[in-house]
Amino acid sequence: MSETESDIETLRRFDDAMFSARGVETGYGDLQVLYGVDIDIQDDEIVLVFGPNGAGKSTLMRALFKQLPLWNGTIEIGGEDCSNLESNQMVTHGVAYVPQTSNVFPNLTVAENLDIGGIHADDVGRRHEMFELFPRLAERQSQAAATLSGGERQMLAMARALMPDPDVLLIDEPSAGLAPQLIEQTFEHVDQIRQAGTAVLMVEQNVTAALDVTDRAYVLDMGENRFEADADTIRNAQRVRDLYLGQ
Amino acid sequence: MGLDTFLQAVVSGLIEGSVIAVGAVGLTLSYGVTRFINFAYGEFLTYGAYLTVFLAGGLFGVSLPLPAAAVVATVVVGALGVAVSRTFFEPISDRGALPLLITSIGVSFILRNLLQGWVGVDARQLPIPLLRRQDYFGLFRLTHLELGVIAASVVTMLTIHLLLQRTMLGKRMRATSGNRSLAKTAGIDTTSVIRQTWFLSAAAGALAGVLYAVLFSPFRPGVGFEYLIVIFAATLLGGIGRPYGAMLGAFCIGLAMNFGSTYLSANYTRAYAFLILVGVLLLKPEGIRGGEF
Repeated sequence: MSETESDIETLRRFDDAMFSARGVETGYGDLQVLYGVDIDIQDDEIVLVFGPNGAGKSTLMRALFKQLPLWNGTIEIGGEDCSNLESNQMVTHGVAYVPQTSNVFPNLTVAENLDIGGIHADDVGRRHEMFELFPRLAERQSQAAATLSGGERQMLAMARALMPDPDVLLIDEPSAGLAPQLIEQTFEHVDQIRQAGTAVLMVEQNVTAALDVTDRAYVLDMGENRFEADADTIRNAQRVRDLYLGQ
Repeated sequence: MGLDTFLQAVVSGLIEGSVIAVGAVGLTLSYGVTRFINFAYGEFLTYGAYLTVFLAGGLFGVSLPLPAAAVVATVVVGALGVAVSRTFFEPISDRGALPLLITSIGVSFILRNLLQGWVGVDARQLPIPLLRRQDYFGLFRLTHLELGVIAASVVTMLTIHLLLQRTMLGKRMRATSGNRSLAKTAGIDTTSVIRQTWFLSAAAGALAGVLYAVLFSPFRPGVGFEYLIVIFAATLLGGIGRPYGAMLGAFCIGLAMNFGSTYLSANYTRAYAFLILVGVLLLKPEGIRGGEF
């Protein structure tokens, strides 16, 4: 076993991380899904979470955003303990979340979706920044979100979440259901979001493409941390390739 | 029966449609954000009508002019709606629509019997004079009060329209209606939005009750519950959860009831609304699944 590969088993912990979750346990009813997951997100970092189906990736996102109650564990944002917040308080603590599905208000227009995104924002110029990042949305402002294409809807979902200029954006499967050329564009957007100063934590099945923009990755399996390393190390680790990338 | 009768039926239909519209919009607003049909809604109409009678009739030691009494009653019943929701509906809000619906039937019994125990079953009426209908353009006849009912309804519809489209509260309500989980994700305090919606819903119900009482005095404590079927018909016809649909549905039901009474038989006025309700459920059952606003 090479040194690189043994490293990925050791979960690094970043004590100065802007967002850090420790020992997260949660589930649905009696069914426990997460058994003590650690996640750190540093400033301006793109972090990828991947793993097999049923690993608990989406559940992790929901738990980190407090959509699910923490059975155990803590969430700290900027050094402040946020374990007991309600999900509607996360935005004011600098965290935004884009769910995988149902991630726009279908009955509201594009502009109104952004109004809702901006209820906790004071920057009126923010909307123009969103239209620069997603020019398509500017053309569709008065259109109901229900009538958007899949790609446009994903852009609107991201723009809505970005309106309050969050420190960290949690995105669940941004490329799910998109055409191949749009998948690449989605990851470009993720990269631009980071360049504009928002760290990103994303869950993605499209691992190879996602790793191209990612700084660091966690592999989740059976509700636990399995591997953690920089994107390059993960990409080249034989065991990750054998187990999760199918190559 | 000529053009004159026809026009009078249209006008009567529009008048009653005005009342139904206010009631249907209130019912559909609460459905839009809570996703259950509130069977206690009829009691808001009843309480609105009775409170107005008491406030205007000096039961509480003051005799307010009718419009002022109506406004106070509307606000008080709005607050009652919030209290009812917090007491009965919020604690079980995550159990799904059916427990909520059944609870609302129980709440309607409680509210109706409380009122009946207090005021008895005697018929009451608003202190309004008997007015003669005035002739308009030689085409149809209306009393001033009927004109007032139409005006109050139009103002209510416009206010609700502006609230939903132009105000942040309206957008929050529509967002909560469209996707409650995402509304929370976006930082909306959905619990508070739902309470505000209950206020509006109950207040609209109370106003509908007052307007009904203006047109169809005298009334008894069962008045709201009995009229609920008419409001349901309008709400479902327009697609429950859709305020603009409810407004349109209300005028259709109002016209149908009055055409039925004029040309078929006046003994079955409510039955015409009920027939439409059955028709909607048979032909367009997705109406009951509802939409968002």
